[in-house]
Amino acid sequence: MPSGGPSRIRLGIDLIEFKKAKDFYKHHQNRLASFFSEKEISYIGHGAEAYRKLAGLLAAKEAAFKASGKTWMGPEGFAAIRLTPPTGKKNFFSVKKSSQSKEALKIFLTQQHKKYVVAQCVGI
Amino acid sequence: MYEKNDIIKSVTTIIAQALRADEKKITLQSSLIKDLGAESIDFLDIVFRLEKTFKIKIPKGELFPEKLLTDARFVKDGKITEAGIEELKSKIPSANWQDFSKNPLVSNLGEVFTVGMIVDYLYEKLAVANK
Repeated sequence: MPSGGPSRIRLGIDLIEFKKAKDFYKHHQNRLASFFSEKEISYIGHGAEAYRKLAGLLAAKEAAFKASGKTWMGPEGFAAIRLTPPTGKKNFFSVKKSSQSKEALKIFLTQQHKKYVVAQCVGI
Repeated sequence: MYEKNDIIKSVTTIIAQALRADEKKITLQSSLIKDLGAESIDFLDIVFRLEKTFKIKIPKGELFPEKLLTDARFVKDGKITEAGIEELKSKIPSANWQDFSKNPLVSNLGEVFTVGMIVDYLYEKLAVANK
């Protein structure tokens, strides 16, 4: 337990339907830059499975937003949560502590379900 | 130049497509989240479709007044203050603030977003653009 008081663990969970993400990608792939960071867009990529990456990213953002305890007031709120996508052996998204985000968050994806991706966020 | 009825028709169609909902069941009073089940991806989808259809740019924070939540005058102890409700009324006059005011929890605010709110926003924005 850290000194100075009890630790606080925040949890957030979200799921996105792959079909919905596929439609979204089909209609709006040229607009992603207005909403996602360069790193996030690079993660989504352009291949046949880009919509699956997009689904995971959106679910991860929403899970992180829920874990932050903020109230949803429009897409801009969770657009401001910039995720570092998984690379190499790291299998989770992360949000670093910053002046805007007082917590370090890890977001894990479950993609075994045929229709949905599920994101689970743990914030400490 | 868009007439309001044209805007209502287009917005209804856009929302029906984005949410895979029956157009006939969408009214100006329909809450995007509470009645139509909109999620975060849907709001993004709707904003992008609106921009494309009406050939406009919707700046961040303009359609959904998110910045209000960071203003200490308008939010206290997880509730919207009276000043906050007045501010919201000025920005989203078509919403049902009477019901919301009975229990003005910040967490309930998303349920206030209605189809009519989007129509009113567009009508004003397009009117300014066409002056």
